[in-house]
Amino acid sequence: MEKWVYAFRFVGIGWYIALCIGGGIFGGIWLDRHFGSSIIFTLAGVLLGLVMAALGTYRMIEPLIREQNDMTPGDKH
Amino acid sequence: MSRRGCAVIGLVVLILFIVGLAGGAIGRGMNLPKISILEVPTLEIESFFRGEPVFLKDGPFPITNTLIASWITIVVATLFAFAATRKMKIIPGRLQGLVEMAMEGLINFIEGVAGHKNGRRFLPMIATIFIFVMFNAYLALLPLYGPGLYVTDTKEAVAPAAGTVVELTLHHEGEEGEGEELKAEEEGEVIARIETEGGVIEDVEAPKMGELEYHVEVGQFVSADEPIAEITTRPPLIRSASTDINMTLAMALLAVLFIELMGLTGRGFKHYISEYINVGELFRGMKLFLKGKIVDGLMAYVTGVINVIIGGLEFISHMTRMISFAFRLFGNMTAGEILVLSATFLIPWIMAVPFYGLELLIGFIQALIFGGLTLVFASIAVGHGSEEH
Repeated sequence: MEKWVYAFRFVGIGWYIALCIGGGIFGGIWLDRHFGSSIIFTLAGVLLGLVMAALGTYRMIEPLIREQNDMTPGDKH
Repeated sequence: MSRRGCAVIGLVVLILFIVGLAGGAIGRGMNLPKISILEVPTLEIESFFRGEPVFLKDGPFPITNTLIASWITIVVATLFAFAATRKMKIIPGRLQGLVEMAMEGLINFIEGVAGHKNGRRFLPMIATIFIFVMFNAYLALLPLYGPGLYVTDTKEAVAPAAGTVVELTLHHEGEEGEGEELKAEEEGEVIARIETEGGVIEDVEAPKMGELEYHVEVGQFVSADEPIAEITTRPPLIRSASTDINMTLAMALLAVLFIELMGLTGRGFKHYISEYINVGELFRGMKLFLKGKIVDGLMAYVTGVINVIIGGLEFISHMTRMISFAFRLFGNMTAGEILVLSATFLIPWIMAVPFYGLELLIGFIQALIFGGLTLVFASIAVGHGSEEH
């Protein structure tokens, strides 16, 4: 496969990270308002969003890393 | 080119630049003499995210200017294809040759990524997306599009109750402002105040933003629902279809649906659904628990929970594509439109030309990205590159 096809896979990754973190934060704020608690859910939301963003990003780039490792120096294109 | 030709072109450009400078905003700022025929329409973007309704405004299905633009694109693309394939010859003419070349390029591009078999299956959708986005972008550069050709849209602000007008809140700024139009800056802005007979002050709000003309004067008595002012906007008759978030979102929905459908048919229901809901390990853990193998069961249980979370991540990442598809196309096309309009506004005629060139490039690139991303995601969904090519 050509190199740019790899690049194409990661075009949406920024949106994914942004939505995970943003969704976590706003979901947390909403829950905090709903239950009247001060900051617990917001913090939890931020953490959850960060973890999800990191995990998801890792999962998306995992095949690429694996293929790069499998590639012996001889058959690089 | 000869030196004389270069000189003539340079002179024409220079003259256009100077004359354009007199008509544009920069020239106005520099107090250059005003020439009325050179005036360009001022830049007005009323609704940023969607097109303005121009026909059937109050009906259940208002026809927006962006919708008209997408209809034009459909008609033009169809006519183009019809004209190119009407009299096909073995030795193609110019038009047929162009279309054949473009189609060949597209087919090679798609088959290069997805392989022969899948490529042929993806071709209709990807090529449609590519052609539609590109035709949209290129047609939007025609002078018919944009603020040159507009419809007039008036709306009346009515009195909420009977009473005496005590204040008209919008004024001309200073003496020089006479003759210039009053303007309601935003929807819901208070444009007048009315004192009812009970002594209550009622606000009259602008139903939308736009040029405003009062029908009443201070001290005049108005009955309820009597028009106080008339607000006029001039939305363009046709506006580039990709500058409407509804259009790009619809295309993104179609693209994502296509990707998921290809995944579903290409890998079978069981494999497809196991990507999102992966509970096999969870059940295995439960079974091991029931058999009494606590440690093994616990291990399998932990893996199972991780699998479920990963399935959720997969789902989120697939749904994110939709938003990124929609906003990428919308953002690029809207930015281009605003860029060309601002350039025209600052120095008419000459400054917009390089940006037109840029827009030609961006139209092609966006079409390539939208189509190419759909293609790449679809070929990943079909089988993680299982088919060799």
